[in-house]
Amino acid sequence: MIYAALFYAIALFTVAGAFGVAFSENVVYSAFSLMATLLGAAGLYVFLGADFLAAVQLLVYVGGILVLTLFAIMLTHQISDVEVSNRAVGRWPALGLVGFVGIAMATALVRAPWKVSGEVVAKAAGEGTTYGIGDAFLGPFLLPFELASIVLLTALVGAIVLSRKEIRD
Amino acid sequence: MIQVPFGTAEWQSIAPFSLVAIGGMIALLWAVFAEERPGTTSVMWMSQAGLAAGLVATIALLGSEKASFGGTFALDGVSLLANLVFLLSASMTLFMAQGHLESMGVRAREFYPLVLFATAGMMIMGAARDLVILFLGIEVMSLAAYVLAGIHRRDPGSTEAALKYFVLGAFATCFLLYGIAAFYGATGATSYDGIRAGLASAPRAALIGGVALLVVALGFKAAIVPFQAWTPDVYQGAPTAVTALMSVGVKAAAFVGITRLFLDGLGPLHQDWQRIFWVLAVLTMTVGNVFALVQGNVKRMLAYSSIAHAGYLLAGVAVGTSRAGGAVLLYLFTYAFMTLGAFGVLIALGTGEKPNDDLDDLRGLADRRPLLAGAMTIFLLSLTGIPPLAGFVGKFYVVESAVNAGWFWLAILLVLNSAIAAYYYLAVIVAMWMRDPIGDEPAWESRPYLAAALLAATVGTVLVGLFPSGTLDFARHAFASIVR
Amino acid sequence: MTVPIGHWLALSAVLFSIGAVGVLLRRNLIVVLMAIEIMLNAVNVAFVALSRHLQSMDGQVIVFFVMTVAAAEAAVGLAIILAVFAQRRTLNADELGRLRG
Repeated sequence: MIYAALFYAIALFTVAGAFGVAFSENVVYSAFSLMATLLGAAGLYVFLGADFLAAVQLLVYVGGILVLTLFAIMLTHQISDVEVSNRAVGRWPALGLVGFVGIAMATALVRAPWKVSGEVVAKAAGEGTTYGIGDAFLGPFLLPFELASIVLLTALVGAIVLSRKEIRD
Repeated sequence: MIQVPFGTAEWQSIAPFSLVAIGGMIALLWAVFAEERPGTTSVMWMSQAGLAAGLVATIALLGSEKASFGGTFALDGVSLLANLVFLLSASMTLFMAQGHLESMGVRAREFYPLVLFATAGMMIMGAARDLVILFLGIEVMSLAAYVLAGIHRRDPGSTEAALKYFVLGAFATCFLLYGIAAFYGATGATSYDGIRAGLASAPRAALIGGVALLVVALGFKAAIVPFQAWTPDVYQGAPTAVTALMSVGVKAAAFVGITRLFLDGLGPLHQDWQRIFWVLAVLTMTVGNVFALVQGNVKRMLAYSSIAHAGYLLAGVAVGTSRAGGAVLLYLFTYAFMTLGAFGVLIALGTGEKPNDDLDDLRGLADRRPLLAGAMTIFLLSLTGIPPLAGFVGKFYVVESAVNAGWFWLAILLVLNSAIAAYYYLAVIVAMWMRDPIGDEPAWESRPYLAAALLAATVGTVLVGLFPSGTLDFARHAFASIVR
Repeated sequence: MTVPIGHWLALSAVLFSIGAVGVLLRRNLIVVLMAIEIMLNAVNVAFVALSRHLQSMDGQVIVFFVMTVAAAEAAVGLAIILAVFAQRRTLNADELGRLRG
């Protein structure tokens, strides 16, 4: 009972964060709402027994992507002193649309006849997922693991090409 | 102790794309350390060497058929033939970009290695038999393509093209991932073999949702109506050499990925996706052709024409037989030569100050540069589908496979659409040969590499048109083992 | 003691649609990028929940690849946004209509 209540609390927190990102007037508020969503997702991973993923979520998303985004906001703010606030176009239609799509998808998924092989239950403490993930990376997921490095290399080169000082003659 | 699956089959299957990626890395290091030297020719040739290495590996492996990484990565006729299309378009792009980028003031030498990374991504997509690998291949290709579209940083059109391409591409990626999640949830697998095995016991709603999400995501990459809205802007804004790569390489990779995924992995669901593709194919070719009719800018017209060609290709996918699969692959070959050639001619017309790619700029081109006008005429006639050029055989075999499988209406609509298309292609030919030029002759530069690429494209367009049977037989044979 | 899988997937669907609406309706490009991150997180939640449901590790491993790509996309996307900004001094997508039509 407490377990289920905790799930719905975290879920609500995550969804509220997402709402904040999508509908907040101010970009900085959006960024901090994004942090709430990311933290909420990390909480959900803990809840699902994905301890290692939760840690990576904090490091990569909160520590990396979010900080990068904040830097971008500050950079674009400082250069020009443009108004940082930004109005959502038609807030009520937007809310109506998100409500409709979300509710439709959610009802479909709740009612779908999922196999009852196992309900999602809390994992016993003390049993980590790190071994399994490591095995998977060097076993069945060896090729994707190597391809991910090409993805990162391409992104690295691309980001530098676009943001460094331009070479002139 | 875990068993790492790595043997001869694995080495062979990753060799082509690995060599291209490694070639890109070497060229990148060279570009960084050659910073003080004048010119970019050496970087271009280093990159060509990487592509040549991939080509040698591909040709050496032609005929082999192996499953590697537990059947998640294919080494077969389809992947190898697709590799040839990707390597060809990348190599031509590099030759055509040489001189073109410099005259626009783009000094970034990373252009060449990035083209190689994009090519490696395409080759991964062509061989992927697992949704995760397909996803990573798409990302390697797309990330490089976003940057390439924006490589001309001082041109507002170029950066805006990169932005649009990126936002819509990243949006499409989310749909792709959600589709992968749907199949993972429904069948418990992401590999094509695993999905096929699990289809029978999977909840139907999740499968339909998954198919829809994958169609949306891949439709974005292949510029299929109604997910084509970004195409004209991005194709027009990007530097023309990059446009050539996007409209040939990226589109071909998306189609090989779609063909393999739906004909192989989702083959048992064909009654569901065939209907979707039928409608989308007709919509795509019609919308592409109708909008192409009203364009006054040839580059933008070619962008819409490439949407129309995506419709013809999708018609082949909708038919879904191994004959049709072979026809799609042959079409990609013919499409590569004529489209690269047409964009190459537009590159040749541009000068440092002005792109000169409006229809009015092409008026009277036959008087000023008869050879260029002649080449453009061949490419446009081929795009129209006039025999005996390459474009005709491509279209002919798609129609033939449709009729063969009993899809008469699709075949009829395809032929009708080709007739509409003839109008706007011929308008360019008429402008070049029968109208008087407007204004002074632009200060054209001589670009030997571009001329060589155009010559190769012309020869390819004519030769594939005259002798299609070898490629066609190979492609059909390759698909025979995939369509079960 | 349990939460049915349907509820997890519903949560993921709600997050995904909020993100999608954010991408479609917001005009600030950095917010659009953040909305895309929300969509990717929604996908991740679905993968982890399904991984638990199916008693297989694959879903969790896939999440790593999604995170890798999310980081790569964020880097490239922000670089593109900054390049556009350096030219235009605006991040309002409505004002970036040069190529439209």
